[in-house]
Order: sequence, then C-alpha cells, then structure tokens
Amino acid sequence: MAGDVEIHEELVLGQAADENAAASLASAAEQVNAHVLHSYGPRVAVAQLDPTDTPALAEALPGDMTVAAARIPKSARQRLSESEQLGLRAFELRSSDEYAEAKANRPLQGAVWDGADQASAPGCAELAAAPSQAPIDEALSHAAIPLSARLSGSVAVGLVLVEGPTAALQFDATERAKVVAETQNGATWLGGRHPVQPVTWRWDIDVIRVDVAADPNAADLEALWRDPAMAALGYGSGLGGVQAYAEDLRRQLGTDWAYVTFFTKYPTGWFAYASLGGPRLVMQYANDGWGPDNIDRVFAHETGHIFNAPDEYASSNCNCGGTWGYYGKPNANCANCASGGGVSCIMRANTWDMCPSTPYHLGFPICPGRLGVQFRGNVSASSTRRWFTHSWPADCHVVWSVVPTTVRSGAAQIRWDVQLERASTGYITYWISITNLTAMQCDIEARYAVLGST
Amino acid sequence: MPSTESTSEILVLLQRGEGVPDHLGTHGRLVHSASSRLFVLELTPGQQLADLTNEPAVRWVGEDPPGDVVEELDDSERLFIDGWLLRRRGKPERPGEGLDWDAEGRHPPDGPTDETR
Repeated sequence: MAGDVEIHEELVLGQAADENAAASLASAAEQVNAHVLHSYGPRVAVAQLDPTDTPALAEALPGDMTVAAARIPKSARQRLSESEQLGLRAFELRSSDEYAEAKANRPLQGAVWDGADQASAPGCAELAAAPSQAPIDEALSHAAIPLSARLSGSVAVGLVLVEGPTAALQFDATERAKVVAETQNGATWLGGRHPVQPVTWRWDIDVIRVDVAADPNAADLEALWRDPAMAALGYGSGLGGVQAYAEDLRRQLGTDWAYVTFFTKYPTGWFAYASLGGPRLVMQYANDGWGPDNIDRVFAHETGHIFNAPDEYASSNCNCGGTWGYYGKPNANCANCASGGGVSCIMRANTWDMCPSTPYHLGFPICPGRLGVQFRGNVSASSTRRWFTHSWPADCHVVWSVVPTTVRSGAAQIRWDVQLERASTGYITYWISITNLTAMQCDIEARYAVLGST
Repeated sequence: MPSTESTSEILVLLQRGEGVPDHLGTHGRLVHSASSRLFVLELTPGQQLADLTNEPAVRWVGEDPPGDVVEELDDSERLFIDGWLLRRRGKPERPGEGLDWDAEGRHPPDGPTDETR
C-alpha cells in the first residue's frame, strides 16, 4: 500500500520510451484484473491490483517492462525523463514509512471543512487571495523533520563532484579518488568521536558533468553549477532541490540524517562553507592554502556546521554565549573569550582534537549512564593513599565508591573520601583518598556510576 | 591502515541480490556503505576475515579487491574503492598541522558572511 489509501499498488517500469507502451501495459493489466492508475510517461506507471496477482502481472508484462523492486537502481533512474522521475519519486514517497506516519497523524483529521472551532477551509475568495508559493529557499524553514539535528546513528551523504566542460573544471581519476578518500577519512574521525556508538555513514556518490562555462562574475556562483547538477540528478533548483535530494537519500538509504556535499573546481564564494543545520556543504578541491591533504579536516569542520556546531576561531568573531546545537549550549571554547584561550578543537583549528563544547553542539550523549571500575590498587596497613582521575565532563553526575577486594571478615577494612577539582570550564578532576583501617595491606577497586548529565 | 586511527577496517562485498545478513553485526560495526552490497566493516575484536568469508551472502572480503571483483562493480563502487585504497596509503605531513583556521597567512573555512559564528 502506498500512502494511506487502502488499495494495493505496484510500480511498473519500462525500458524503452515506446509510444505503444501505455497500450501494452493496459492490455497486460487487463489480463490479471489490474488497473493502471497513473502513468508518468512511457516508462513509469502505477497499477492497482490484488496483492496476490502481482506475480501474474509480472508474467503478463511485455519483456521490456517489470514490476519494480523496492529500490530502483541509479542507472535505471537516470534513464527516465523529468516527469517520469517525478512520478517515481512521488510513488516512493507515498510508499515510505514516514509518509504513512504523517498521513496517520494528519492535522485536523476528521474535522468538517466548516467546523467552527477548527481551522477554516479555504473558500474560493481565500484561495484567490492566497499568497503565491513561497520561494524554494524560504520553504526550507518549513521542513517538518530536521535533516541533521544531531550526529548519531546513521548519516546519508550525497557526495556530488560537479565538473564543467573544460579540463580546468574537471577532476582526474586520482583527484576523484582523493575526494572520496578524504571525505571517508573525515567522516570516520568525526563519527568515531561518538562516545556510545560511532556513526555509520552511507554514501551516494555521483560525478556530474554540466555544460556551463565558469563565470566568476555570476550573481550566484553556486547556483551556476549546482542547479544544473541537481537537474541531472532529477531535482529542482535552489536549496529546495538540494533538500529534496537529501530527504530522498534519507528515505532510500534508511538513515537517521542526511546532507549533501558538493566538490567542484568552479569559482565559489569561498573555498569551503556550509549551511548551519544543513542541507549542504560546498568545497573547492584545491581547499585554498590548506591543500587537498586537509580536505578531511575541513570536511569534518564543515560537517560540524551541518550538525549545528559553531566556529570557534577568533576571526569568526565568535563569542562564548549563544545557544548552539542539540542541547542549546553556549560556544564556550570560542578563542575570543574561553578561559585560558580555549583548547584545540576541529571547530577552531586544523587538528583531530575535539573540545568539551563541540560534543554538546553535535548532540552526542554527553553522560550516557554506565558503571565501571576506574582503577585498582592497594593500600598499606593503617595508611592513607590518594589517587586522582581527570577529564570527567563537568556536566556528568558521577558517584564513586571504593570496595576492598582483599577478603577479611570481622571488621570494616577501608574508608574513602572524594574531593573535586574544577580543572577547566568543561572538566572535573576527582581526588580519591582511601584509608586502610586494618593492620594488613588491602587491595581495592574504585568504581564509578555515571548517572546522567545535569 | 586507514589514516585516522588504528582500526581493523575491511571491505565487504555481498553477492549480488543478497540482503545484509541479520547477524553481520556480530562480525563488526558498519562504518561506511557505498551501495547496497559494498561496505566498510570494523571487525569486532577476535573476529577473523575467514569468519566473514564463510558467510554465504558474502562475495568477497578483504583489503584490496582483485580484478575480477572490481569488474563487477558499478562506477560509484569503484570510486569508493579507489578512495579506500588511497586512504590506506596514509598521507605526508599536512600543511598547517595544528594551526588555528584563521592563522596568519591562511584563510579559514566558512566565508565572512556565513552564519556559523
């Protein structure tokens, strides 16, 4: 079933743009009591039938037509016309779980059109006076489900290398591989910072050559090459088209999040930039003075922006306030104001470090509840020994306990005391003093319980 | 070894038309997928390549695919493998290692008008 309409539908795909296709399909459908509901050109149609008749329909179809599989290969998709692709995408959207869920939770489900206490139905006059359709970029703000609210689970990345008609605008095979290697590397590092379950990355890689001359004076440097590239992938212009592509990727690849990464040699407004919160980042292959060997770091930095992390380097004019990212935390590691100048971080410098603030911005679980043994040791008879353990995130609520592991019955063996040091804005050091109350050496283990974050 | 850190990542190619086996996760963690049949898996400690090779759904598993395997792949999958192999070579010392993005003489990522402050 597609959408929430209680009938069974199947997608039929043809191979050839044959003008007799519609008649052939109708004839085959008739043989199995099926009905062609929609056709979007000679190669894409939707048929209504009893689910048990699907194999019979497949058998009855002409040799160049098939009942489509769950996921249409990219090669088959690219052969389709724009309207055929639209029909295909619409059917896929209607078949998705998200669509079914949205339909199951329709606003004003069951309300009568003229219900006095509900939203009004648009009358003819209201329709006539309705504002024109919002520009596509504006429509982004109305997207129902964020594409990149937090860096967790699985992420689809549409990696699009956009080439032009001249050699200077094209990537050679080594450069293409370099882009893939660098983005793979940067993603692996960034996703690997997740403290509980490293992120899984699902890639959809395309090399698109567009027939547009470079124009450094173009009013919109990005749209010049991006829009034709998106058209080649079957999507509309503007960031709305990019968003639609990301949403399709998320649905088709079954990921939690999605965004689109463009690499190009066309002139761009800056060598690397991203939309805060997605849906796209753009990078020049040359990567300015940082060079292609640092694409991974810049890609990781820009992906940080996709997942709502702010810049931390001084000339960004950052400040230590604000509400950023998944938890709405301030930009506490901003180089302009952080205590002691802040610490090394991917959002600040060309490094594989991450400061205490960025995990909050990316939405990592900061203090997942867990139990463990931090250290084991021994304390001499009738003496006190002190240990310290550092770099515990300051927001984590941690409870310590110390237990003897030397067996000796009859009396208490140890007591302990925990003292705290706020070593930096983001981190706590725990000092644990353990006293042996007995006349014999005692082995101990210090246990922690992380209860969550404050 | 991939250059970010020392992991035991390997490439896994499934037989054409095979779905991902439910128990694949026992062999390792899925790090990247390039298509419905080509993956990078981080092996679970104690798991061996042979454990995966014996899986009926697995066409090939390893670090550097042989020619007959590469010939089966589509363009995107080949490009993904090219990137994987390049990444495994490591890289020379980076320009500007450790420098702040706005270090003297360098431009930071993100243009002056961006919203990422």
